[in-house]
Amino acid sequence: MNMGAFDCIVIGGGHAGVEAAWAACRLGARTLLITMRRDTIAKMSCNPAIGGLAKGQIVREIDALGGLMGLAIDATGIQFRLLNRSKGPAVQSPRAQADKYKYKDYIRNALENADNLTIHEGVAADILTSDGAVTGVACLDGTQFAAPTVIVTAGTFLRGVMHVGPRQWAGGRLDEPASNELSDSLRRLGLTIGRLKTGTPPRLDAATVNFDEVEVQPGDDEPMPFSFLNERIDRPQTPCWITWTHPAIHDLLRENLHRAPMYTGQITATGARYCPSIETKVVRFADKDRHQVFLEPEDEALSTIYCNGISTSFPEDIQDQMIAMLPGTRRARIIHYAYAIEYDYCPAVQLQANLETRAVAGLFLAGQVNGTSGYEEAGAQGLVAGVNAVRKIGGAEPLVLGRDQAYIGVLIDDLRTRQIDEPYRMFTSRAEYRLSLRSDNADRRLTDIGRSVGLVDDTRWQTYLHKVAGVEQVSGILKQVRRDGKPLWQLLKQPDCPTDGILAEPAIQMLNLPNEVLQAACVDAKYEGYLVRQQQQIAGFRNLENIKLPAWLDYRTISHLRYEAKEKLAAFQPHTLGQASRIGGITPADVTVIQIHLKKNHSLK
Amino acid sequence: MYETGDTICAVGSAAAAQAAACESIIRVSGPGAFAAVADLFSTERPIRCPGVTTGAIAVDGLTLDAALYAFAGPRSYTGEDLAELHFFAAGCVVERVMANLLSRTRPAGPGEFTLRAYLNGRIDLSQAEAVAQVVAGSNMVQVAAAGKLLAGKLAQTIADLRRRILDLLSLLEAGMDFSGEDIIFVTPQEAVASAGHIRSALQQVLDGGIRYEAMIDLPSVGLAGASNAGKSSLLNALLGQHRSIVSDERATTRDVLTGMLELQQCRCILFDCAGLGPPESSAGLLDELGRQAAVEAINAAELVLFCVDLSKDDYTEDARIRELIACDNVVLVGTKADLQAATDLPRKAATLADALGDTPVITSAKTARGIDALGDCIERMLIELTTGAGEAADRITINQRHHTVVCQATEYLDQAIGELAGKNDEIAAMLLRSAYERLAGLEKEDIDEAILERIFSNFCIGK
Repeated sequence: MNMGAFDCIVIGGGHAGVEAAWAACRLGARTLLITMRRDTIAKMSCNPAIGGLAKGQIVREIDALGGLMGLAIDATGIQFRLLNRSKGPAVQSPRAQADKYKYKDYIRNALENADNLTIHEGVAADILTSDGAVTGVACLDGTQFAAPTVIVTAGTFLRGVMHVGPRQWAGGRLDEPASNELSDSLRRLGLTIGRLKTGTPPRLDAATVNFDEVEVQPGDDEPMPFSFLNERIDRPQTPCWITWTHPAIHDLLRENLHRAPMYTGQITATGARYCPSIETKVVRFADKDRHQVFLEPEDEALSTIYCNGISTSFPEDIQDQMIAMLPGTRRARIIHYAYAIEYDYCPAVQLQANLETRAVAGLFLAGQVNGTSGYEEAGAQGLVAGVNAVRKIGGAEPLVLGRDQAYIGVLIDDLRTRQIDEPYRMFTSRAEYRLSLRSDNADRRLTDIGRSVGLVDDTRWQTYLHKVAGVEQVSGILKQVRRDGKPLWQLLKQPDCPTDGILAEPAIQMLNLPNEVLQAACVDAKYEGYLVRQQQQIAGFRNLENIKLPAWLDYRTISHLRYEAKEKLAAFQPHTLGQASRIGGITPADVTVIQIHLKKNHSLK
Repeated sequence: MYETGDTICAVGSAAAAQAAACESIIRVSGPGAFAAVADLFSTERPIRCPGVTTGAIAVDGLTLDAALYAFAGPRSYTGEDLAELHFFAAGCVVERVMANLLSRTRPAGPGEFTLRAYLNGRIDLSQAEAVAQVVAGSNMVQVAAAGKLLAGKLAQTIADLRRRILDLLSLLEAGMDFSGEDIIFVTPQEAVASAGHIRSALQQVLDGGIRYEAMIDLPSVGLAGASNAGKSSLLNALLGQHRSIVSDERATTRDVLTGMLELQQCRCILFDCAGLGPPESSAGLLDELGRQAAVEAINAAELVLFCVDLSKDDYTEDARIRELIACDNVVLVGTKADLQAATDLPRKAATLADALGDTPVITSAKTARGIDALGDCIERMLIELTTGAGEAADRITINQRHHTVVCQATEYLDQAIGELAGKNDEIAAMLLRSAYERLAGLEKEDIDEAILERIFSNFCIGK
């Protein structure tokens, strides 16, 4: 039963799906979002927070490009903190606790009010193709929709299996069914499927927690917004709390390891090293006598608490005992038990740089289905896939962000050139141009790109131009005004120069510009010398990055290329020579051999 | 993976050097080629371009006659500005000239000049195919050489320093990426101290081990001995070709002659220099200069083949010359065995062994007797030297490229220490990464993964 034709169909209403749908419809494409349930759109399945180290930068980038995430968290956040405040500006990241119910309502509202976007409640079961190209999607109930592009953002739903102790069942998320049919459909289309594992901690009834027994962690006095469109956040802030496990709890867990699926062999997929379950922590770091547990409110009304730090696969009775032994939660009632989940993902080495599969034209994948972890990583991919689906229809060059331009560029490049064996999460250490990829300059890196793509509206564009002019004005003064015979701009380069003292300069105060603008100019001054050096590296990097490797290139036929290099390159199918050079095991000489081969073929044509 | 916009330089290839037996050629190509040679080369004539200009190069107080071949791009072999310095000098002098140029250029990789020629449309397809082959071939050699170097003392030291940089980097990165944990990964004081230790260890490498090899990267083997001891003939026999001018008159070899010796498992530069005998009263200035160059070159060699003419009756002069050689690794070679009656040989060999205190390898360049055995002996000793066995194990050998790399790494460490003290960990991390990458070997590594692996295996992280 054909229910209509669209330009772009997005499967899944998670954080990747909503950014994809938002981008596509705002670019004028007739867009369909298929989700199992309208009320779970943009649901926070795991921690009720947005941002964090490296992730905060990604949210700023999504916002600078015209995405939705930054605006949503600014509108619904209940506690804002700038992390790494004592460290350099390049590694400072915003993080906020969300009211997770308001957060998803905000996003659903935005999508429901968007032009060109239709939301359909249903279970996508099959990707329809013809001659190796996407033609539409069929739902479980037989409903069919036609479209030349489909973006799959299925999260953990593909053949999801949930574990609580020895009990296991098929499911995509708490109280939601898995999607086995879609997984099979992707397999039939020739995609390679892998398996990953993740987990989530128990949620408590906030009314049963004794907050007097635990340490309070307040938000910042002056909350910093995520979106470049917002100057400040004026809502009152809710605190978080911290408690600690102790040896008696560790003994309990160790004695019951035979009931933890992670240790019984019931779970075979790989979990993430950066997100270990509490059982993994007490086994691997047996000498540590306490582990932090953050008690994070999930909503402003303080109805439920998320126990950040004790994700687990133990059965319910062990979870009950553990909570009963934890200071502050001794009498607390668990509302949702912790669970572990295994799910299918598609290793992203199968994707092109625009996030389209090489196997099927018009089929895009974004988010957790590509092996990532985190709402921010998912949202970033969703936005890129949404933009690129529309650009494909219009015959425009794809939006591909470089490693030197954005964390989003690092993310997608890493996914496409690395064999991952755990869910991929962003760290600032993954970005070799970290000093350039800052939270404060995400707009200056990306807003004009967002504008040229068509996602940045006039309001955002004007705000941006205004800010850039302000930064230039401040920089001008910093370069002119001298203190002790030296320009302020030079003083800011000294390793221990306090910016507050510099910004107190009357000529700067007179401008009456937002603090964000003043700080941006100071950061520019501080890093200038190193950024120049980094620019030179980037220029060298760009040379190789600009040499595109055509899709028809058959590495096996390149004479003189080492066998290992042929295998690796054929498997990863790099998009540019630069990408080829980053694949493990590829030597500089291999790259030169390819360079010669390309030139040879070019002159033959 | 070569960048194509910068200026590169290298010692001319063996094929080019063959045309003029003992001439050294250093080739520089790229936008800064002329500026780079202008510092070294002086002449009273106007520089001809395209063309040859004679003049002199001065390096470390030494002045040598030289010719500059200059070609402006795009009408040059590489299609870029191209300069060649041709001069006659010992290998170690060539190395000094290179060192001087490398402050303004970067060493060319295998086949890189030809690659540029090809990319700039100066050579055709069939030639380019040959280049690919050369590049692929040298890749194999490089991988093998890297493996060999890995077993060596310098490689060990560098690997250890890199490990320490990575350790420190992991702690700094953990402090930035996991600041929400209840862990203090490293205090600023500890970080400064740790970077300081790495820095002084690098300095020790520079202070303790500077030693130039006769040719970039390859170990050198020198032939030494009295005049007319048959060194040039032996060199030719080992190389399997006629390289130096061989005559029966004494002291026919004035300058250092070189050739590359391909052994089963490794390659080395074989060189033959003027006789080391005492200067004769009739000897001209040139002879004396030649003698000095020979002593310098011999003492810079990894291995010396000390040649003695077996047919002589008295080995006293040879024993005296042997004492001039400071190199620790010497193979005694008896030459011209074909001039002896077979029955006389054992007695002669024993007398020689007595006089020099070592057992000779008996050879004849004419009949090829003992040549293969000598080749095997050279190879065995070189492998022993590079893999760190034997007495030489404690000595770090470091060539110009290593020296440059270690110097740069030391500079990065200096800056990193300043930034760590100012609590700018993110800048310090970038500098430490640069130091780490400078000290890296041939293979690209996934440093991010290495950092994360260290963090996750050492600390309990994550929620």
